Amino acid sequence: MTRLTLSHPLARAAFCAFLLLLPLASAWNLMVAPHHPALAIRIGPKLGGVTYDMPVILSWSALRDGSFQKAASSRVTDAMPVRPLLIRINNEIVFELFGELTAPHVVKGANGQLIERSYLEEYCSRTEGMGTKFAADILPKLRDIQDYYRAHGAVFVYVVSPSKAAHLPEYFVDRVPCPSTPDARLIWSPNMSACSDKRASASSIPQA
Amino acid sequence: MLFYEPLFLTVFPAVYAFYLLASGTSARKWTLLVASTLFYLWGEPIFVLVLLASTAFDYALSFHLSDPTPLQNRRLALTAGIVGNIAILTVYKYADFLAENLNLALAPFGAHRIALLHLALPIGVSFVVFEKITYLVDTYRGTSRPAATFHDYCLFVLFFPKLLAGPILKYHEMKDQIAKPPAIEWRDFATGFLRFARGLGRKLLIADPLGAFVNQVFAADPASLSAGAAWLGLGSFTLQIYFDFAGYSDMAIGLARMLGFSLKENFDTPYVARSMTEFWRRWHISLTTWIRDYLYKPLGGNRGGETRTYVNLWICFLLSGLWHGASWNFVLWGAYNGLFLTLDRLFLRDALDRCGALISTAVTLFIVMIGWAMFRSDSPAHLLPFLSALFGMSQAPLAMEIPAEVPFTLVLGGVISLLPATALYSPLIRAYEQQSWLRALTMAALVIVYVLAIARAVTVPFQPFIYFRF
Repeated sequence: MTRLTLSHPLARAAFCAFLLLLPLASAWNLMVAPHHPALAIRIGPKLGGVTYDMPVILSWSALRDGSFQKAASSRVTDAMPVRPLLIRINNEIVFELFGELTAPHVVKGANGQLIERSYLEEYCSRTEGMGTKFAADILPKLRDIQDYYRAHGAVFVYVVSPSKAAHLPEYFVDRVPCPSTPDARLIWSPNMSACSDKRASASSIPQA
Repeated sequence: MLFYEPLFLTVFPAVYAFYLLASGTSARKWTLLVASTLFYLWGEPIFVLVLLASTAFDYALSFHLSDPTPLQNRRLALTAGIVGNIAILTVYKYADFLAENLNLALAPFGAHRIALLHLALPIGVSFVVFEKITYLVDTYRGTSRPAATFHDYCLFVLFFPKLLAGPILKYHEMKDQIAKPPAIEWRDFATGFLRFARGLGRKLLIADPLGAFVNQVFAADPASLSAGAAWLGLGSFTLQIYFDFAGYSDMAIGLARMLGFSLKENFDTPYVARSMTEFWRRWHISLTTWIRDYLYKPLGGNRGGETRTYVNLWICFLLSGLWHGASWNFVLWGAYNGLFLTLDRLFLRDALDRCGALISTAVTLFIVMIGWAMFRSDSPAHLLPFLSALFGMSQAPLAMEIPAEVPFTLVLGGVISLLPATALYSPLIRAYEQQSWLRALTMAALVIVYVLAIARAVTVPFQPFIYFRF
């Protein structure tokens, strides 16, 4: 039993090696991951968000006003190997226990349905004729891409699909201010599809 | 740097490993001193220089505070040391408050306005200054000898677990551990880690979720608060300040214990107190005992008759209020506490004793909560309408959205705070001491609390400890 005491050199060395796992893995992520992202040590699901990396500038003024500390601290936080898992744990618990979302741009609809706020706001700001105009803007660009791939012996396929808000509006439209009329919301996708169909038949490009 | 910041959680294990591997007393002390200096430098790169200079001044003076220096010179040296330390506190914390009030008072006479310094308050300055004074006074009183080396004294001043928000250490209580850092065993690590985990849980899982709601309530126009919202906000703050500060103390005591050091307790279930006198024996114990030993007793304590005792109590609590912050609401809070301490001595404590445990605890908690309303209000101008709202006298109460986690956290915090006042507590403690499975279950629960707290720490923006402002 005495061999297991912390004062024993072997026990102490093993414990210190364990203690160093997190600092070393974080240091690895800090130094290697920016150049070789595939080699980064990460535990947990990949994070979808993007964080702004403040420049780490070591100078007396940066040290004095705290910007160096803030930037360095932010980098170390990002480099923590278990950060994705911890964020997932926290978000799950807060959502399951309190029904609250920690992601700032996600809206919770009826029956626990979730949607990205930007999709819902787009749906709620549609006006009549907007679909035709949007199709007129975007389809030539898609056509150019199709032409490019056809010239290279490939096929470019795109799908026009309703957003989650358009597919299940009853869950979401009461969650944000929604000035668009029901007609304007409904006509948008058929407008887009109609324009797309005309182009497709003219250019004989198959659609999915 | 906060103890639950990912940076600290990443760096501390490396420092701890280095500390464990350091052989010999000197190497350990230097490891701790360098780590502590870097820790403070990270947050206060300029003030750390002032602090080191002041520490050198104290150390030099301490050799003139005991025999064979003549008594008159010893007194002179002690006065110089105390004035030097109070001067630091005055310049950084009170100068602008004094200047603003002088400007206000002298404005009708057309006096020239005193320019404000606008200095940022260094984190932990109030705690460090009080600790440095204990070194000087303990040496003067002969309770302890001057530190053997300058770096021993620096380590006492800068020891990072307690540096930012206490517990306020007294030199005579720490000198032996500082001179020879204790050896570390598994028990120290386990006990310290679990204590640290408890502190993290208190801060991140109870204080912080309540803090966001408290900010919302106290930022609202108090005239628009319903009595329910005002009480909910005040109740939330009552728990927030306890779990925030006691959480920090747990982390400090836990970290120190991992390093082999034993720090005195700072809290003892304060909300179960049955009188204000008892509350102050249980709340921020290190400050209360500091005031008792280094202010109340030198003022004469209770040796000069009843009136003198009451005056001394009032002075101590007024200064305790002012210690918390340079603002009139803190002075008012100090005076309010001094008043109830005096009333306790006159009749209140005896009257509460006769009412039974439930009523005395409830009345004491009510007095404490009204005190917290003074403490949390930004100014006396906010306080009066807020007190009116508490008693249902607001004019146009607005509905306030209550985040879903607030009721849950309030109940959890309330149960944890008040459980020791119930008949369940003693059997629970006995069972914990006797049943190994219950101890194992508690440990497992604390490990889970640690993971959940860290998960919150890396996800939610930081909320600094309330007592970092003092």
